[in-house]
Amino acid sequence: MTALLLFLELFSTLGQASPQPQTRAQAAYRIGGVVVDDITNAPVARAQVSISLGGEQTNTVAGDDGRFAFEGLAAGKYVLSAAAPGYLHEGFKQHGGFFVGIATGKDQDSEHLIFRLHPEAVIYGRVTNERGEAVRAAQVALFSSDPMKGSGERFVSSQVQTNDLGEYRFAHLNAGKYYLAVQARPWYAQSQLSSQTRQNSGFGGSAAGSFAVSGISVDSDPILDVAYPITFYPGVTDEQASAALILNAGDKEEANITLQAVPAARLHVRVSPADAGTSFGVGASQRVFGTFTSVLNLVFGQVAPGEYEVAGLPPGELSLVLTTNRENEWTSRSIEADTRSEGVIDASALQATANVSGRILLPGGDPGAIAGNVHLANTATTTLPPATVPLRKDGTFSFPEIQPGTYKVQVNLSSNDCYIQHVSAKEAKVSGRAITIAAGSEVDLTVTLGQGRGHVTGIVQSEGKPASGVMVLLVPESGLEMEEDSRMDESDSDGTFNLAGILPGEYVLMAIEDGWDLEWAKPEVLRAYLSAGQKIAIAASQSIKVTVTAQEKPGRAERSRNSVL
Amino acid sequence: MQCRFCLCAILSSPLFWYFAASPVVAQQTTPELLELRGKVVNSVTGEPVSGALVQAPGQKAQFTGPDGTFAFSDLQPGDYLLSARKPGFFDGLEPQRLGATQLSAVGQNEQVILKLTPEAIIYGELKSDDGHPLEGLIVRALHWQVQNGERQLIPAGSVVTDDQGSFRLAQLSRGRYYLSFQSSNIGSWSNSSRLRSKKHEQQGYGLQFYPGVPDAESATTIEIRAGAQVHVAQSLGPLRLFDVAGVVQGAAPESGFDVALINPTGETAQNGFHMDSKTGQFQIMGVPAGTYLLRATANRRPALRSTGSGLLRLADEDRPPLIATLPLHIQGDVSGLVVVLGSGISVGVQVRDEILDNAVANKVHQVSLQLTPQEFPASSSWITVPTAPGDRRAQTRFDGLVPGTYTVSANPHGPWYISSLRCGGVDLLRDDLTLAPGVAPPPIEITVRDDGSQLNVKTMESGQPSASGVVLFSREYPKRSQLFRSTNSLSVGNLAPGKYYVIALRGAENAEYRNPAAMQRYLTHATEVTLGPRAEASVTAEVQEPVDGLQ
Repeated sequence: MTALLLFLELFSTLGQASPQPQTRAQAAYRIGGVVVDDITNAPVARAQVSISLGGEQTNTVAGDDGRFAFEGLAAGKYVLSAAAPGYLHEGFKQHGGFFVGIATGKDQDSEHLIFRLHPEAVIYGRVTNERGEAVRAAQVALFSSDPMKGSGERFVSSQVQTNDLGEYRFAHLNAGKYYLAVQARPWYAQSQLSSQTRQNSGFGGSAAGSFAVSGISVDSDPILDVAYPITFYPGVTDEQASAALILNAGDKEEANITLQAVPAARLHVRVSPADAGTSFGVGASQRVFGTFTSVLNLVFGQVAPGEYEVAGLPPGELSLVLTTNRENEWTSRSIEADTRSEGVIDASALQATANVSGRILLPGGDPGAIAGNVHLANTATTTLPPATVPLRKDGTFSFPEIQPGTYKVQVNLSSNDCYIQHVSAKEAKVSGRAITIAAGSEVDLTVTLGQGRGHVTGIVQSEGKPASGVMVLLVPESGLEMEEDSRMDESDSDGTFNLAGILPGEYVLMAIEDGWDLEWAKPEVLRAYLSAGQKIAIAASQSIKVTVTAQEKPGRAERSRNSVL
Repeated sequence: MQCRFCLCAILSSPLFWYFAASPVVAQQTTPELLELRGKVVNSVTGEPVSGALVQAPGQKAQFTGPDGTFAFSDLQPGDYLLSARKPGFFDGLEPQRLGATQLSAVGQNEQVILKLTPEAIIYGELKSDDGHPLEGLIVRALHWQVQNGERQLIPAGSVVTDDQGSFRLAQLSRGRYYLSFQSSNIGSWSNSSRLRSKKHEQQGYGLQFYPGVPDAESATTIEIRAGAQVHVAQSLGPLRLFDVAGVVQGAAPESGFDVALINPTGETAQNGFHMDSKTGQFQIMGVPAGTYLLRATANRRPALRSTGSGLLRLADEDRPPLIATLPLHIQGDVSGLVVVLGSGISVGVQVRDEILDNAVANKVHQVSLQLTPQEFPASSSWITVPTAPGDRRAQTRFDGLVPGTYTVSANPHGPWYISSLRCGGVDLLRDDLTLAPGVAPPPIEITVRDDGSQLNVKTMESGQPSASGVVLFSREYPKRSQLFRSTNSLSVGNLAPGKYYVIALRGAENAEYRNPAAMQRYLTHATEVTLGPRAEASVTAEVQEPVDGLQ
């Protein structure tokens, strides 16, 4: 069952325990069991336990022996969750965004549940600088892998700022592998621009252009012209060398990081004459672990006509976003830069853009009936919003002035049931639903839509009986668009699962016991399970019911613990 | 929290430290080049401050050593403005910045002493009645600050308790603070058509004050000196929380509306929200008992829309959005409220422009006008008049006002002054505006002129220049009074002609400079000056110490 409704509201009401039953006609079932500590197996006294059905929620408090019971329930599928101080607030057998729903009714045993609560882990520490001082207001980001993505990529799960003692703290953590990255600016950093221009109409000049320099040209004081590179635990600036913090449930791990100031880097950017004289802004950011964009502090100003200097940067590769505002129109451009390379970045040359135009096709339907927008999302830079244009009534669209790069084609349509089935283009390279555009090209894009997503439900069996808590995974047989098109669920207490919103096509369905740590998006990892999976072809708007047998992870000698005693 | 991407030059703004600066004359070590030695000390303990950054213009910056000392050598003779800073230190309530004309005699032998004032810190833990740490509550330190001559309770810092219930508020200057604790479950905002029915009594932490009381009036202040570290361990019990429900009329269904419930210190204390733009029904959940201002605003259509390649364009909108306000005293659940957008009292504004000077006359002479309800000082309304040509979204009058008393203040946006501010028979430069129920008030009339005068002030103490704040108090038109931060030499232009009392007041930041009762005691030792149009005058004022009541 998926945790669509995050149970934020669950414990916001602090009233007394009120196990008011839902009294409906055949309300005769019970949900009951015991809450235990996953490590020690001891009962968790006075844990707060909740069940929820269709938005209606009932709370109770477990006894000193950890036992809880909800009486007089109608048949149905309930969300069961529990919380206690020092433990994670979890759904029953929760993994990522999935947990086991409790089915009540005839032939269902919902009264002998063992709810294992995991003690929460904590990562805490201090950020200091090379002078031994605490660093205030440093941004500390915590990274972990997301089991639902199956790719092993690290994503930011939380961010905090250090306090006046340089301390930070991340609590309520699952067991797992974590990474830390710190971004800060030295409190004493001052980067001067090498000169600043002032317009002086009285100054004639040669064709090369002369300009008046106001004030003294100040050389930056090397003590102050410094920056902190983004620093990873245990104190390295190369993300490949960063160390993981491996946490078991209940661990309290201290991770201190020391920042070293390095001379700040500066860049020169030349803009086209058309851009000069308009309101101009520069932002810079760095990618961390390929998934997170960290915005950098900087100083910038115009140092010569059409030339800007950006100072106070940490050394290394970064993305510059240049924004110009001309008569209330903002244009943003993104440029990859490396502070260690010499020379001036010529932003004026990057005016060479491409034009993209095209149409949507809807086989068996009228494309004109669909209203909405088409997006091109730049896959390299996440600080730029996707380019968006509306669909015209005849189903065509056009994007003026697209920068070269690789983009994912997306649609946002009035009808939720439509999806992109196929993308083809003239003058651009297509891979799945992404296109790569070169400068100066005139791209003709055809987006074929489909209507009607599919639905797969069924039961997971193991040794002939329904198996709960099993990871159910549906992946495209082609292996393309794994991240977007795969679907996942956890089988409920009656072994049932539900996969919705599936794009029509050919898939392989697998049920893998304890598969939650698998990097299933990697072909070499998945290969072992594909052969025992079931091939399923899904047509538009089709609903299919299947029974699938659970596979065990090879090498796991013991069976995973059952929820049924 | 992630820093947002800024479109302009980001100069590091040292928010948590200030400068202590003083000019000094360098000592002679050789006939041509001089050496300057000094020490940075903690202004409270007198102990040296190591690792402070000391700067002198044209010289390389230095960090002080463990003994707090620094030395600049090879200096040309002359005046040097030194500054020192370090995180965790201020310059206190009065910067010791002295003007360059302030010189000591040549040949002094002492070390220069630069003083830094340490920050104060309030830290502690919040627990529930049964001893569990309370996570996710917003802790704020509030203090009285004077804004536009009126005292208001303003947050000096805020932080959220962590999983151990701990919090730390740093960078506080000395003073008297209230601590407030607010549940941060501002949570579920939903646009559903199914409004929740209340099953049983709600409880929550709502908004409470140290030492565990539900309102600011009964709260206890914490007095802290510079550099103090104060520990607070607080248990909180839950409050009863109520729902406020009703319907908003007059909003366009496609753009919807917004409803906010604000208490007198400007905080919102609810923990949930349901709104239905089609029927106009709203429900605000989890509100603690107290006095609030309910404000409903029609949503504007989005201002920026993207066209392609990241281009954004301003969209047109034909008129400013409708609003309505309603004061509420909540002691239990409230339902059946009817809030009609565009209802309420409206006050128009008329500007009379008497500016004759050609250089200035071509521009639009704007003034910003602020209306502050006395009961809800944090809920001011502002408009800027006259509006810029072509700006159809701008407000030209105050709408949606409820009966009550309001303070009106006007600030010019350029080299002009307000020569008159009236509403019917009420002179708003002297008195507050009272709006009676059911009565449409006359428009507020503002007259602007540019024949203002200039006043130069030097503040002195026993014949020596001495830095302090300056109040220009007008007894005839108290709302015309102005406050200037610490300085020892001040030049003010565009002053309305008239009689002023120049009061040099140490620690003037929190003076109620528009309140005749508060200023009365300083008038005897103030310097009187009467200014005609386009006049210039120079006066000195003797520094006075504040009488009890000011920080």
